Amino acid sequence: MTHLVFFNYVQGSGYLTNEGPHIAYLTHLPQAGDAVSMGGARLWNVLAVDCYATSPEQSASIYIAHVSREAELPRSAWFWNQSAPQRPVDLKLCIADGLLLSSGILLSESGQPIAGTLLPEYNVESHTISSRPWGIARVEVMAPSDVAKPYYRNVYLARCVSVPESQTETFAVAQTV
Amino acid sequence: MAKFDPLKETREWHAAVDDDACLNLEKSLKAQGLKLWLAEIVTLPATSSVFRVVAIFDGPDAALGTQRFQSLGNNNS
Repeated sequence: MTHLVFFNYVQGSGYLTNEGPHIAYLTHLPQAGDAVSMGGARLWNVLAVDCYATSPEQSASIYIAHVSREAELPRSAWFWNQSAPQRPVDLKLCIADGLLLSSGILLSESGQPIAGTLLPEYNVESHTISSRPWGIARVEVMAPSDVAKPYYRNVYLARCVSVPESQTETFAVAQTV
Repeated sequence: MAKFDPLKETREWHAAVDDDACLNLEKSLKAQGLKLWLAEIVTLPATSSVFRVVAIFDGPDAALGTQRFQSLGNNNS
């Protein structure tokens, strides 16, 4: 049996350009104290692993491995707990089998994934947005199952399928900051 | 499968270097009196770009394609 694990920072800055969140299907769950690469030539520490499930009875679940460069960091010092403790933070993951297509956080309801829509893509060089050839087939909303102080209120897991016949359109957006 | 339609997107997108910068950007925009809020942060794939995230703003004053910031290139022209 494998578990879907999402590795993500609890820091709001300090990561390198070649480092990013990622998913893995693991037979053994990571534990606090483990070291993991986030894509660069340095290790990050697993601070905690939280479980999210669609319901307490269902086995479909995802594990969030919270990582930091610090060996120990209390939850109160994690980025969103410290910077905006009054704002509920949801996690949005768009995956297709072993691919992490997109990840991010939601601070309002307007970004919730909707089944039947294509994923948007932001093009860094041209500052445009377009459609991606990936569509959301279904969305699972997961709540923390065994965590006293969860970092994310909910996890929106959007399961995607390839839509190669879709055509992309681009539209210029705002400048960079 | 419905396409993502940029013409129907009412939210405002800005590239930023990290999550911390997104919050600072929100403070800056609100300080200008704009009625909008940080709605979503999308992490971009790890690349050589310094822009690692996209900050997406929602609210009455959010507008896709708005020109809120003058780049250094524009200032020199």
